[in-house]
Amino acid sequence: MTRYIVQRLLLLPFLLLVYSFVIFAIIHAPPGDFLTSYVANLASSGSTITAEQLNALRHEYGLDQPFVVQYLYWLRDLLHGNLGLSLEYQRPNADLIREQLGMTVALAAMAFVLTWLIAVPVGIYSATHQRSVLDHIFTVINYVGVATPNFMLALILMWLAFAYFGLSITGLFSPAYADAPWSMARVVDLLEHIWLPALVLGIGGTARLARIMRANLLDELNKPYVVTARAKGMREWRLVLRYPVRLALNPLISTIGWYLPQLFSGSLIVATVMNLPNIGPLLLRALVSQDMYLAGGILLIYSFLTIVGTLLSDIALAMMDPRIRMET
Amino acid sequence: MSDAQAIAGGAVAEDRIAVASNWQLVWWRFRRHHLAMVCAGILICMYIVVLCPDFFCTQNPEQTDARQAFIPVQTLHLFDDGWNPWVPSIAGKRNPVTLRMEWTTDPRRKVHVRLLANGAPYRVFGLFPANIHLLQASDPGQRVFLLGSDRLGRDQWSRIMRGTQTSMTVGLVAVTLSVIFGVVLGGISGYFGGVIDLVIQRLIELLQSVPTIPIWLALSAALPRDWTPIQVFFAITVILSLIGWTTLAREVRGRFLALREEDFVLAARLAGCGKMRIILRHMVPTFMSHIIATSSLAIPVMIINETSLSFLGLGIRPPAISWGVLLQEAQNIQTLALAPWLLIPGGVVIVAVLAFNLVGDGLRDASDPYSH
Amino acid sequence: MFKKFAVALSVCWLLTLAGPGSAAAQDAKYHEAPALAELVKAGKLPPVEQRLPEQPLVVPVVEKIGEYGGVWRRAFLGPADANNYVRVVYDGLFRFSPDGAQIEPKLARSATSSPDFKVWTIELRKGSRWSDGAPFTADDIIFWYKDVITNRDLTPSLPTWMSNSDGSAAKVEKIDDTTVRFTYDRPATLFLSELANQDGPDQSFAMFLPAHYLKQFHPAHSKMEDLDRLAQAASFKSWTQLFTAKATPASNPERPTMAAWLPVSRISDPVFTIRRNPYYIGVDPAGNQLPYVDEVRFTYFADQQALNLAAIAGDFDMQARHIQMTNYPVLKEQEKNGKYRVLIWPTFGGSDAIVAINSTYTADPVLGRLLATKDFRVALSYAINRDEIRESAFLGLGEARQPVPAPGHPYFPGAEWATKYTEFNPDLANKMLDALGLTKRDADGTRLMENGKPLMVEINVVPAFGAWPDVGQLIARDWQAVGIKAVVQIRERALALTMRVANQLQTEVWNEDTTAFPFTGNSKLDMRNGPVQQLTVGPLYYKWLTTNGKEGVEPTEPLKRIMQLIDTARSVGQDGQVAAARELFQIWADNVYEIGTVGLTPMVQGVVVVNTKMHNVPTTLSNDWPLRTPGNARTEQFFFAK
Repeated sequence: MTRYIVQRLLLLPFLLLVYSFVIFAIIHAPPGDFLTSYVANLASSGSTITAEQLNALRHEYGLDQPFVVQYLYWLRDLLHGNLGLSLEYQRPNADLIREQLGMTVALAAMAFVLTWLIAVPVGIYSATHQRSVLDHIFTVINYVGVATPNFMLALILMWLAFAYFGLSITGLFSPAYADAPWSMARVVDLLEHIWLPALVLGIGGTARLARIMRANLLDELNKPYVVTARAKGMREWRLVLRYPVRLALNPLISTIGWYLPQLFSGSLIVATVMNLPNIGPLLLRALVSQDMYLAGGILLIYSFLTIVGTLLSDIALAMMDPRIRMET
Repeated sequence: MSDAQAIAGGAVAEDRIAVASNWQLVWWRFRRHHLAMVCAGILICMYIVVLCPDFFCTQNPEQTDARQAFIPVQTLHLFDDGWNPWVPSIAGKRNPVTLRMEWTTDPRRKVHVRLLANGAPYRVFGLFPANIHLLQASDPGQRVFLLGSDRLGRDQWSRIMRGTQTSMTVGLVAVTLSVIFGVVLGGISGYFGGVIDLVIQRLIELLQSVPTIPIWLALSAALPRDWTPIQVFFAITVILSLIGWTTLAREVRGRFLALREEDFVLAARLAGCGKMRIILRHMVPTFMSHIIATSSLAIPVMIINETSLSFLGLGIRPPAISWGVLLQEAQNIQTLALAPWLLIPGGVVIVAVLAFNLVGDGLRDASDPYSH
Repeated sequence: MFKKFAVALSVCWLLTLAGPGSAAAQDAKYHEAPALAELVKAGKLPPVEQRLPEQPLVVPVVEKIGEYGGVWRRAFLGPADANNYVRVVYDGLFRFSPDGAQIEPKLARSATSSPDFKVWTIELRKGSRWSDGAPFTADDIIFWYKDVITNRDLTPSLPTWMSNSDGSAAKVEKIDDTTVRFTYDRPATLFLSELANQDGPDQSFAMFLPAHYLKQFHPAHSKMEDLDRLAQAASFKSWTQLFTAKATPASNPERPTMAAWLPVSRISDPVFTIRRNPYYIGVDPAGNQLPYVDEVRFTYFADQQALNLAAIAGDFDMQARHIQMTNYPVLKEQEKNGKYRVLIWPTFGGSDAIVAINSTYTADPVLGRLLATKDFRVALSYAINRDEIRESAFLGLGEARQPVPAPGHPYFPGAEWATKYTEFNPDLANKMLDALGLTKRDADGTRLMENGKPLMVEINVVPAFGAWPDVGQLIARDWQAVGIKAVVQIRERALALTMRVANQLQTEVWNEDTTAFPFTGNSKLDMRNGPVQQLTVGPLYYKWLTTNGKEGVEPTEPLKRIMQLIDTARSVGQDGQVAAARELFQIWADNVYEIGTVGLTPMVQGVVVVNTKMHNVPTTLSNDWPLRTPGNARTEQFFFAK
């Protein structure tokens, strides 16, 4: 067991190295570079930049070096803990990412909590009241929830909230509170805005989780120990909650590690549409305008989160499932 | 019955049962899932559209007419003194204050339509010329908008038909590629073991640790912008399938590791079968049904992914038509406020994904011998 | 805490003693915002008479004298949208008037020229101060001249307006604390127009910089080691990057500015706020120091759709930027709910969707020859149904026109020229195409060129504005109807630019918005500006011009005449310029290098959402980038009615 964990941990830096190269290559792949986009933007707003200025900038940003040299510079900076400068924002990338990280985590946490709060009871109810009306309703909602692309929901819900309820839910705060210091009023404002994004983000996950919960619980409910407990006169509620539910939850808990990175990257599109402060839109912009170091830095962070998340849940699974332990 | 007859009858009965193949068993069990059957029917209808979308189009999906923009859904009436389908005629006037184009129907004036009529010519599979359409306006100068029109006056019904072809094909092709990668690589890994296994396992871990959406974005942003829509289409399917094959490979590898020690494999080896033959003819068919069930659950994921990429402007782009492209063109305030019927492709996506999920569930239940 | 309360209390008491009708208050020549008055009373700020220059800028008001207070809410799309801020403050020595026809003094008091336009003298306002209280003098312009614009590291190439005919820099000297003299070796008749645009957009340097603050970041006044250290600390690679960042107001709240509001946060923050500048040099006709509005708050939006949705919901007080014209109907319908009114500021001439035709296309010589033929272009123009484009892509607004200035502008060449070849006449188009020898057609009806190949034209579209892809499709369909197979290629900006420079585009859709200023800077009509600036009218002409005829294609006679006219205009007075411009635009319209479709629509930041409580916002305004709209509406006199 420990050998397995140690093996995976040793591979981590190696994986990150390979990723860094692949990521850098992908970011470099589109034709042109940051300055090409910059010049194009200038030109379309009627401004100009002379060829000499362009060359000077290119040299300053190091964009005139060959690919491998640029990669090595970036790697060297990374190893020193320096995430580089954002060409578009003209500020250190570490600052930009740090500023967005807080909200990203908050949103993901909120969506996560919402998902579990809804999915687990729904799953339990569906399993214990199979084929009831509510079960069928939940099943339909579940399936539709899984089937709907969540970004599509985002803009539609924003529009509906505005058209029918007069709520303007763009962004996480109303403009009055956006940069105000924390206060009760600000928290209330946040809650008023955050429910919609959390809902949109969580809806797919809720549906999936509820289905799995239901399936797992159904499996457990057919087992002999449940029949025994029932025969021994335990009340249905206590019975269900004390044993089968806990066993049904096990596989879910062990897959949490996979779920978190999903949540981070899955929120990307929704965050852009709903104007949420999030690392996702930052990445999207950076990719489109070829702000290499920012995009590279964020992608590396995503990769790191994913690797760690996968590792955690693989470990959890291995601890739980002896078959996997034996195979490694 | 005498003993001999009983034995004979039993033998015949045995023969009858023994003949049913795995696929027939699966089919019999699947048949019992009513919901899955209905969904399978829906999917078959969709794939018929995929085979020949132009038959279902009422007009050229690319035909624009600025004066017929944002026409709402036209109700098809079937009777007018007997069987004579028609849609109401519409007239548009621009509101002088808000500049919104307002359409009023005039039920007294009718645009008659015909079923199975001749219309614009097209080619089936790009080869056979034909010009029969399911529904056509009787008067070729008139246009019928069964599901309304978009901002350039293009017929949404026809565009959805074409879009179905693209999106369903992408899903299918991407999954097929994934399956091929997964089975081949997983099989090799599981069967041969050793160093090959180690390398392929690490590769799988590498790919599985990739944060999917950001890497898709990066890859799609890296696609040369001057590629034709067809090239982009194929590139997108390859990109989508590159991520999807790893889970399947892992499962296949697990099965292979287990099956490797089975007697029938040993028997085949002793009989002199080559390695590839053993893998392909003996081992793979045992879990083929599982692969199919998993794949049918992967297709909707691919469809949603393609839709997401198109939505971000990074996947299939106009003038190619796919569900993602249609949704992307509808994702703006103007559409939501003035032409909500342009969100119908979203509904189509949901139905397709739903159908695939239910069929996949049904297949999985039907093919898993331990599910009872 | 208690101390502050005591101070406030005593201030209030003093005020009540003073009373609204006291002699002191009545006799005061100038008045200021209450918040500033508080600071003055607390001794933290000099009184308003000392903060204003001796002759402050008197800003006329659109409706009435305003009231102090309020926060102007706006939206922006990120650091690349810095011009959003530049337009709002329009911080220049001179600025354009609301109708775009005059240039009026702002920070400067006047500018006079010698009769031959070679020597210009700028008078600043005595007693004007930067936002931190330091005096604003001629030294700030000299610092820019000596250490920035002529410094090769900071400015690799001298801008044209500052160069003499031999490429050397014009002489700039300080006459006294408030007078600066520019001396050229050639007539500089467009000097004022240039001055009106030297406000530091797009990370360029304004022509006046806070020398007392920026000197510490310049090697001529500071030690290089210190600069290197500072640069390193901010992750910059050299002192030039550091200096540029420090000199840009939107990136550096510590940099003193002369604008009506000064930044208190950065443009890379989620909310970019600029607050009242206590030393602003402007007053209204009643002597109240401007601006009326306390603060302008820009909220970051990642996505234009969300921005538009917020506008529809009434979250902004005056916003035209990034509002999509296609949302006009929804905005109008929600006026009551959102408590705003919607104005239209049409573009300032030109045409909002044109097709530029490449006359130097070489990849297909046969097609290239056709594209370079005037009659071919005229036929293409007659084939376009502009009415349909207007209805479909522009909500029925605007009018069909070629890319020439707006009627009412002195450079307008006449209605006959503005509508040349704009009639929808496919028959005439067919006749003209037949006359060119394109009579044979293939099975699909596409005309065949002289080498037997079908005539196929690619239309490049960058979806910068919503209307353009639609316009491209419609034009393609119109051309197809006269036998020309047209393919619309949607490409993103950077790629289109690269291809244009490489002479790979056949035609492209864009807008022509430089017709009001054909002689200064970045006119798209001057072949010497290069394909980065212009559209794809003829990338190889630029090559010919820059290699002195060795490579490239010689510009046609009409284009040469245009360049001649531009040169003459730079050395004659106003009347001469008007005559030159009129002839220029007649040539332009006649040769249809750019085929105009529809113009004078509110496509480019022309749909304005204004809070009902905000006043002094003009109902009509000339709308163009050089005018820095809404800057030319004199934003400092906008106010909120209580």
